[in-house]
Amino acid sequence: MTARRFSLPPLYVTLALGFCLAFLVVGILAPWLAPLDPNAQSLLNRLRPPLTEGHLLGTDVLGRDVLSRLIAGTRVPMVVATAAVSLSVLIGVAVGLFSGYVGGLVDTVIMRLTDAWLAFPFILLAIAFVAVLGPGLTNVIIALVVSQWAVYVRLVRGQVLSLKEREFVLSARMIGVSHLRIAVQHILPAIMPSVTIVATLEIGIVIATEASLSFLGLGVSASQPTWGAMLAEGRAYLASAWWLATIPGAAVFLVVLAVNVVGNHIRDMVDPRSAGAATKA
Amino acid sequence: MLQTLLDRLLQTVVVLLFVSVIVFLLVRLIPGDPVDIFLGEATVSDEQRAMLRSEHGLDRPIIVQYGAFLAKAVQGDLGRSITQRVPVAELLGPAFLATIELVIAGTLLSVVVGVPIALLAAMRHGRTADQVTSALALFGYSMPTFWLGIMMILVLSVHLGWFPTGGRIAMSAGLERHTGLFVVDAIITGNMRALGSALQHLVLPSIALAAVSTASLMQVLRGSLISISQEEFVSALRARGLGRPTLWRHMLRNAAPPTVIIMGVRFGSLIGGGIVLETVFSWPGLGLLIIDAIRARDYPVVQGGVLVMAASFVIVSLVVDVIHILLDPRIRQGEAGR
Repeated sequence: MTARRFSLPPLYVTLALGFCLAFLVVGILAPWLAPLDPNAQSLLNRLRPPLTEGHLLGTDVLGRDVLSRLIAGTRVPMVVATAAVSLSVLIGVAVGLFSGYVGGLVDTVIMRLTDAWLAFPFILLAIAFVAVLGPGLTNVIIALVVSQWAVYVRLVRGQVLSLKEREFVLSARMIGVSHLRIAVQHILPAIMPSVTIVATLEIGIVIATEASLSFLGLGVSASQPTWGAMLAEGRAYLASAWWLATIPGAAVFLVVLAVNVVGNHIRDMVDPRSAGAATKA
Repeated sequence: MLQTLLDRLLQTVVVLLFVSVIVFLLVRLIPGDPVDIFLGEATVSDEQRAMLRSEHGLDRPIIVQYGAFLAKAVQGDLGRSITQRVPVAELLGPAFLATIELVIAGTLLSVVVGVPIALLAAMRHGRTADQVTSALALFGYSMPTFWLGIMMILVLSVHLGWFPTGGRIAMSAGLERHTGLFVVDAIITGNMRALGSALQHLVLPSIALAAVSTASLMQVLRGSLISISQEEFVSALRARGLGRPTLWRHMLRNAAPPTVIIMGVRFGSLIGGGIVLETVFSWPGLGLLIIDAIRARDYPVVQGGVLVMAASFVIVSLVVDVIHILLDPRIRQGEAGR
């Protein structure tokens, strides 16, 4: 797509970036920021609507403070997104770099496998893996890495193929630089911008997927409050307590939106041509 | 063109085989004795266990087990459900059709809504309508579909009572089943009440499902239309004094191939998003079947469901690519490789 993209006014981007940073800070400081114990039950204060005194966002069916649970719930998506995306990048970039650089039969085999892997709907693969591995933080991360790494292999390999014929690589070869050094010191830096763009946009997908998994009861254990699990609990009280399902879902939406706004902006800034196609897969 | 099609077909077969290997191995990852996992036998003695094991070939090398699994799967035998004690295929059939009905409705909706909006945005490129469209698209694909579904239930079903909160049809509608697609069944049997009920149940889940794909459709089509409008043939047509409708028809024709590809890729996330949505709307499709089976630890059903879902995704990608090849004369004549 060579068409000029619509880029958001910088104010929105700044706001989105601020929101992402806030999410990160809240995720890190969650235990100190929560006004109340997110798991403290109070049967006298059940199902209080938002703006009740002492409970800004109301309470749930066990009388737990929704705001505190929302804050505590930032931690899981933050940890999962950070770990899953960086591990996928690490594995995907290494495999893609190797495959593209070595070329030949090895490359053909690796790419066929990657294509086959990408043939699975992403969330189906994640659900299937959590289903067999069982819920839990590590397993959710594994499931997400397993279903994501191949995206980067495709992206990196394509770029390596063209880069390795470029003059700066050829001249490094001529003066006797080793293959490993060429791959890591010369080619890797050149592909990092597009990897960064895709990774940023994938963060949004990972956060949304983690929420879906928690919503389905396939996420991190039940003792840890997560937005997806809060939504699932709130679903039973749609008629009596609208805020229980509305608030955590809105949180997921806003974070994903903010990440996407920032991601799109980085993409438009760095390179309007290369990244667009890759992220659509 | 034939060569391209044959290559693509061969590739599909390879991918399908790979999918079957993954699905086969996936369930082997579960800790525990396969006898318990597959047969769900609650209390068996060691002799019975050994007997069951050899009866079901679980004592043979894994490659032989895979061969047997594949041979059976090809014939439609996916084992028996542990909890419901019927062949898995019997459960998958109706669920598959329910999912298909939902996905078709969602896709139609995205096209009906997405194409005109993309046209409008491209015509008003850079102006307010265009910017609103882009912002909407961004909202669309940032929206967690299951939350959108729940919010629609909250407002339109629970509070306004316009739509049912879930399910596929009212029990009282008395629909005779023929094809398994309820809307089609209602039309061919002339049961207007069932048609109304089926459509009413279909509205909310298909809107929720269409949200994301409409967003990508709008973005891609808008992008291709804008870049095509800057090409020479468009200026040439314009110079010849062609009217707007004719001009846009030419441009749409050219923008179709990349759009079809993206819709094909999106189809996967449509099926995927459907898994969660079906749970939200109690829509008795493949997704709900798989999730319920996971909760009940009914692994033969999980295995069969994942296999069918992944295989249909692969086949849809094939169909999309074939359409793409047919739509794009450059590939049709073998000028441009992929």
